[in-house]
Amino acid sequence: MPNGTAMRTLNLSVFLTRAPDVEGQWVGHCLDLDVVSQGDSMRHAYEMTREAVELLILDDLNAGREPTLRSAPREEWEAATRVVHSANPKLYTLSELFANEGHMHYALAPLMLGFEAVTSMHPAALQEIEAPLRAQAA
Amino acid sequence: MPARFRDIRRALLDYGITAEPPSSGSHWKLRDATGKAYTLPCHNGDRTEISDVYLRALCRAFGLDWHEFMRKL
Repeated sequence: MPNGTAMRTLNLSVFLTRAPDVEGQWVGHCLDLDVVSQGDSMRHAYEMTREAVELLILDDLNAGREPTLRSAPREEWEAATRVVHSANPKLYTLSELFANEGHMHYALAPLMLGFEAVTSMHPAALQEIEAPLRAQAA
Repeated sequence: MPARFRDIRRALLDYGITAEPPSSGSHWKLRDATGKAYTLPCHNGDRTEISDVYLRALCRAFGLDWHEFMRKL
């Protein structure tokens, strides 16, 4: 990694449901950032949500805003949690998930994004900040 | 009640929220006077029908009154 840059990773999740009011559409909701999009299939809704999340995170970072300060309201989290806990959960890979969308009504899918952030901080100062975070993660 | 992409764009203008077409991908970028941004899906063109689930999140993002916004559609 070149001096003056820092890699930042965000681990998010997307709650995917059939649109309750638009025939044939799926809705993707990144609850962590309260970003919603939709698509013609579960896979498409996931891809659309990822695109929307990427656009907004980049917009925030370029404007000097912290992207993770927004989140869906508590009732949205509770509704998603209720749905997920209302049946026996099954674990799938993403490709298995999308291949089985025909008989599904909802899914919770991971979304991991990495960003290279350019900083004017001296590399030594950056390392000083990052060291405790790395130790915490280890 | 879902809404069409073009009607949402028109209603947002009443709040001074502008829409910028995508340079790539399928989302328009919305922006209010303070610079706050949100995205608007348009994967099926101008006639894209958009769910209430999205419309509620859109209102939250810009602090719009849901009922008032729905009356403008």
